[in-house]
Amino acid sequence: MRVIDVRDLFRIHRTAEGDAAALQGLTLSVEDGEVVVILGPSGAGKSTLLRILAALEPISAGTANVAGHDLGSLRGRAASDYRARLLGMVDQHYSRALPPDMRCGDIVALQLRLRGVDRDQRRRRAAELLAAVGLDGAADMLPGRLSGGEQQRVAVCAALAHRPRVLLADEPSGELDRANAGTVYRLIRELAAADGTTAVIVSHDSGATEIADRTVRIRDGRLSEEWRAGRPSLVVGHGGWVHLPEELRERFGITTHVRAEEGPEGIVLLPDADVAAPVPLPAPAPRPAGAEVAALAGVSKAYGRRTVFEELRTTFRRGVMSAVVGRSGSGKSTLLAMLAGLERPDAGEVRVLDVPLSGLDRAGLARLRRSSVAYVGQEPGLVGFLSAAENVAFTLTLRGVDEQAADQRARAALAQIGLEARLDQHASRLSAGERQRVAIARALATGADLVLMDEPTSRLDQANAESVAALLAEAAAVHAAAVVCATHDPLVVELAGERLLLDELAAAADAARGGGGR
Amino acid sequence: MPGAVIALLAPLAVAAARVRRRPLRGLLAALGIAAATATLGATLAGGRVSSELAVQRALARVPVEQRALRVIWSGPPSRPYRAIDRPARRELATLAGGPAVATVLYRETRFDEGRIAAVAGLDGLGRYVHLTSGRLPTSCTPTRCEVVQVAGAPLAAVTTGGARLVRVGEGRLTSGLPFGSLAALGVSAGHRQPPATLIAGDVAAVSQMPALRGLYRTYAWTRPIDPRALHSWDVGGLLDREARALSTLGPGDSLWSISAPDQAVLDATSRSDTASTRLTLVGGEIAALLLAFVLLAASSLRADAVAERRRLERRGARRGQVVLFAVAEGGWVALLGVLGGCAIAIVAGAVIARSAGLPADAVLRHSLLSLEGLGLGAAALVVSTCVVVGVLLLGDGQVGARIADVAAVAALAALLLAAARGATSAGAGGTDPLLPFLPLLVALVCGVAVARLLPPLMRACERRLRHASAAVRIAVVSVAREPLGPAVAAAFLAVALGLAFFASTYRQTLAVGQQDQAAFAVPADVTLSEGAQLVRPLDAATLQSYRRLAGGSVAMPVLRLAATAAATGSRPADVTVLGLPAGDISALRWRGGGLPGGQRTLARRLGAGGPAALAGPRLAPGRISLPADVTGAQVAVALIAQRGDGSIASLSLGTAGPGRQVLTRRLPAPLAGARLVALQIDRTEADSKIAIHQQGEGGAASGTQGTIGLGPLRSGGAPVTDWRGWVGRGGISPEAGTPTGAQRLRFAITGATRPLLRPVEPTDGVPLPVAVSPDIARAAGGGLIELRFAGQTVPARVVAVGDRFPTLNGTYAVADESRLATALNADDPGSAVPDELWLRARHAADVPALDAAVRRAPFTELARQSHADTLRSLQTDPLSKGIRLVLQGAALLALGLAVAGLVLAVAGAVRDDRTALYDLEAQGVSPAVLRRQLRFRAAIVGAVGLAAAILVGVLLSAATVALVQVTATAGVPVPPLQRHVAWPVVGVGLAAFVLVAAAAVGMATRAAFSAPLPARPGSDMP
Repeated sequence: MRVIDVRDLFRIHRTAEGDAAALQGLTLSVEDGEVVVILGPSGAGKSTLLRILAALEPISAGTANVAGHDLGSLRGRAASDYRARLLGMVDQHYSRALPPDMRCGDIVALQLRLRGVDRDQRRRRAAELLAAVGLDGAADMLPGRLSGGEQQRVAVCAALAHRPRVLLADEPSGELDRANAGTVYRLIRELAAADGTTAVIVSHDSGATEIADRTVRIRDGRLSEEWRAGRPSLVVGHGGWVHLPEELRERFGITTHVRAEEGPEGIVLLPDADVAAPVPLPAPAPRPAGAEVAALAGVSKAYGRRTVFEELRTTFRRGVMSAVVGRSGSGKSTLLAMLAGLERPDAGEVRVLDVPLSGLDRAGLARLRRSSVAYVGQEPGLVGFLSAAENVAFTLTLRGVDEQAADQRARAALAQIGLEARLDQHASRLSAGERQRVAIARALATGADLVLMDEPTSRLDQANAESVAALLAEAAAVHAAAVVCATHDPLVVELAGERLLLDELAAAADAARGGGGR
Repeated sequence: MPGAVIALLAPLAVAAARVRRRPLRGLLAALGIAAATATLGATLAGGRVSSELAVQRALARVPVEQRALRVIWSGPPSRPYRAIDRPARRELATLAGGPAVATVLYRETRFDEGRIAAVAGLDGLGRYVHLTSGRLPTSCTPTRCEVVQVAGAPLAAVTTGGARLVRVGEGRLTSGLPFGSLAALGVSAGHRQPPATLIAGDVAAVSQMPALRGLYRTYAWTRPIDPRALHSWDVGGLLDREARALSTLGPGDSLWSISAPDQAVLDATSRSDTASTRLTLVGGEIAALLLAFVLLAASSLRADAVAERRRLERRGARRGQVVLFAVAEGGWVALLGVLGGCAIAIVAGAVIARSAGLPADAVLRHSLLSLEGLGLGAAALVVSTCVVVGVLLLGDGQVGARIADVAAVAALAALLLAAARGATSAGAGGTDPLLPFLPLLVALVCGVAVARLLPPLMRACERRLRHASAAVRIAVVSVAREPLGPAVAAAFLAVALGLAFFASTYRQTLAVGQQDQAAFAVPADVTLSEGAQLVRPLDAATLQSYRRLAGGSVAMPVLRLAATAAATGSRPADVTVLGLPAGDISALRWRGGGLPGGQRTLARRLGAGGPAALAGPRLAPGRISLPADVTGAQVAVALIAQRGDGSIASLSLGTAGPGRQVLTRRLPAPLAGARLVALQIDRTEADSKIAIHQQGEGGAASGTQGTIGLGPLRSGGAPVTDWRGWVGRGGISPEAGTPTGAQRLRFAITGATRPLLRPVEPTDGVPLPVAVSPDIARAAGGGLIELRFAGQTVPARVVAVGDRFPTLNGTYAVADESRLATALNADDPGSAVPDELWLRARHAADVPALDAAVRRAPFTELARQSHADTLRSLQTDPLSKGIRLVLQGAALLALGLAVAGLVLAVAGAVRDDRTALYDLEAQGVSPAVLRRQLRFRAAIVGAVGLAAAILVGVLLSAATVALVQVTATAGVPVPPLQRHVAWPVVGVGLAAFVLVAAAAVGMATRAAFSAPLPARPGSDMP
């Protein structure tokens, strides 16, 4: 039985900088009890689809039907009832999704309470779910007292407490390390299966596909590919549109036009030689590498009673992309922030370009960053009221590039990362993945000696992640920058010339202290 | 518990959890609400205090004899005293507490001895009579009653109907209270000498005297009203009780009446009602401003509450549940604020009441703790909840902006409607509810306009500032592209500073208005006029004496006459004609009143040609002789002379019959040196009586006709005049070609005008220069008008037109006193004698001495008005003080709030943009640049807000002054209020604002970047 039936769905966002089509004729159906994982590059319309399915966003054209509810006509109280009864939602940002002032037990039971379920039933169900995810004692705790993974487990419980017909999860592992991500996906699968819940999960995480009955990919607001039982197929959309995956196009030299010919088993698509392919930009020449750009000498850092680093010593050299790897909370972000002069170590010294950061005040640190460091945080930041191009250009002008050149370089950098269509869109109106790409483009455009990237691919699909990883490696190799990436993405780790494994360092430190643990 | 109830209460549980965890989350908003509630409450209590003081003051001004509750029975004797005494006392007790004073006053009667006397009785006589001789009465029987004489020529005893009234003492009444206005004992109207007034000490006994039984009498039972005992909130009740008492005493019985100072109290109450309503409204405007501040402050709650709201919505919470959550969230903040505000208001109300010397508990009971006060508290709770909930629910700004737009359009429509209706005055103030809300409406319209105009303005700046420094560019771009916060802040600043400007301007306007009113009523330091004893200022002392007062004063003799003149329409207008020395106009306390060119120009125009005086030769002391040769009717001949002090005297030379004769008379000493201004040749007294009789019979009076030859007039043996060149008036006409040495006149006297032979006067044939009111000016053909006085017409030329002149309101004409007097006295000597005298000290320091001097003899018989007293009375009026205090407080509060609003805006920018600020700093922007851009952003908001505020203030004060014609004391302003900006005060206020705001913003921005490192937004996880 079909629970979700979406046909030829359009969603146009109107902005002052121009209209943007998030969905362009998307068609998707999901069977009862099915677990579907949606992949796709940032800005492809994945989150928009989920918001439409949650009746949180209107439809511009097409139809969407969920469990017999026509979402196009669902308004007000009916929409609320629909969400209350049929839907469970899990958000990428667990800290935003959980009411910080309520106890976890109450949070899990809240949706039942909003539906008028009595206290005993609510408590029973909350206890049952929390126990199922291994958080028996957390019912009376505030979410802020739990780790990220634990909070996301509470969020999954809260989404499933009322036994929804459909679970919508948007990047549920986006802020989790691999181990926690795996746990969350497993729980979603188990809990959904227990109640026969249909699940639609948006993710970049390949781990998500492991629990999927079916995986689909969205590109440019349309369903383009589908994997059923591991077998990929291209989706033929309304009117016969077929999207050729980029890797196929690259492999067979298809640029802008193809010829369709009949073959013995069907249609054969051939590159059209009559149409000239765009000329790629010449690659810059490699630069010498090897000198030390940044170093941590006996750095220790603790948050309260929790020690993150102890006597950490490491260096980052020109021309090398380093991957800082570790589980959530292992200190990856802190390490990058210390290198950027945005955090101070409790002990030890951080040096960048031979400058000890302890000798610099806040203004001096800003000056150093301006001259030599490019930093991309886990939250990409950006100035919301500046456009994508302005964000990049402004950073360049800060570093002494004249305005015209800065604008050209900014546009080129954004085009290189695939955002030529979004140059003039305000940063606040870009999707999370797009913002992350803008931030990466900005960092790379600066040509800084030290490039610091915190989870640069966490919001990107495979193709974009590969592209970004390649760009980072190129920045290290060609521009002789020291690129440091805090990541748990194997793709980035694989391309990294050096790896700093924080979990192993921590274990070694524990062992040196006598195995006390943290 | 039913599921529906559980579902309903679910959002409350969320809100309760949030409150439990962070009860002071909305502290700033709660403080704003508390301040708004406290202001409103304190204003309510202050209004009550003002009303109370106004009623007390009004009562205190009522003469003691009228400041009493009095039950009165007047009539012919029809029932025994006891039958009326008991109900009268009973009903009086329902009106006021304390002992009653009983009196009886008989109509004046002629006693057997032929003497007229008034008889009265007064219980407790000793308390009200000061004996000058004898003793108080001790007995009163039906045949013999001892009395005290308090007025009139002494008489030992009088007898009537066999009863004797025996005077045992003499004295005077020390208080008018017992008899009140029933009779001015001792000064009975119509008597030059007051009749003998005899008072017995026992009302019941004197009432039972058979000899007085037939006399019409008035009984009165009186209780004085202590001004401090009658409260403003009791006035309505007292009037009701009076009506009830009267109906109880005798339904349909016109013999009973009740006397009380109702009108004075009602006037004060009405005035105080108007004023306290206005106080409350000004307070309401402050409260509205504070609520606008709450709006700003609540926006700090918005992000958090909106996040919670969205979480609920994602979980399927219905709209009602979401609204309930917002109401609970906002209601808690509002409740906290309102309760705090009420507590502060109660304390403030008690302090205000005590400082005014009023019982705090009673004031609070009838203000804050009254139904009105509690209603106000409830309204404050509802409104502030709505404001906070509105911010929480309409957090995205679009719906809120749309609501603000609609409200602004409605406010604009209301303003246009108010302007179309025109001005309202104190009397009509209650009929147009729109007008008192002017400040709020103007502020709302301007605030929304500022919010709407800021983004395009900043976008224009953004294009022009592409090459500016990083700090300037970030600031301008942020305001241009994310204008909601800055626009709201700028709008708030415009409103707050605009209201501060308005409050200070309106306060100054009212203060200057008081000075104008005082100057209008008393344009000099002191004005003197004819008093109750019919003594005129120049009767009391000479002009020179006045000029010597207080080391030399400007003394202006003033003529005030009634006349008519042509005006628009068919009927002539009644004109008050004021004559005062043109040269002294510049000494008046007056600022032109719309007359072109001001006082000096007016003085020059009115006094063109210099002062005028009646012409004529001087009379020398000694014998006066006038040869006369009459043909026809005999005539009475009199010399009309003007003494040195300007007064006119007539000296009869006797009757001249047909034939030759010499009329002689010795010149009275007071006329020695007087100027002969006319010779009156009139009917004899006998002829006048006949003429009057004939007119009375309906026939035409026969004229007195003939000729008279006049020889030279000699005085003290010297020739005074031979009458040549003199002109005749009132039927006297000189004959041409008379022989030298004699003047022959033809006379035909009708009595219609005064028959005179007089010299040619400087005003003859010269129109009198006058300043007139616009209605007269409109009717003037070629600038000429005719002023028609009783019996004569004076041609006048309009030299200035103005809406009003001091002491004159309505249709008026003002002329130089000497020219006006000369023009009038020429044909009717003595018809224009100054009846007022205006005094102005040469130096301000001499004013108190002048004021004191005219309080002493010989000026005590004159009616006196002091400018200082008048101004003081206006300025110390409790209502006036209240409104000025509130306006002053409003201005200071608005300034403070403006600073707080600016700091909040900066704090909001730091909070809302923390991710962007962190990102910028991570990209290498120095903290100094970030700090500068925040300061520059605040400067943009401040500058736009300030510019708009001046516009708001100017518009607001102009509209208010034009449309609300009510004085500080809630009266009709005469002259009308004119807007006055206290520029020094405004300048100091603005400078203070700029300095304090700059310091506060500097501190706030410094604090925002004072940490050694920037705080990573969002998470403290490693």
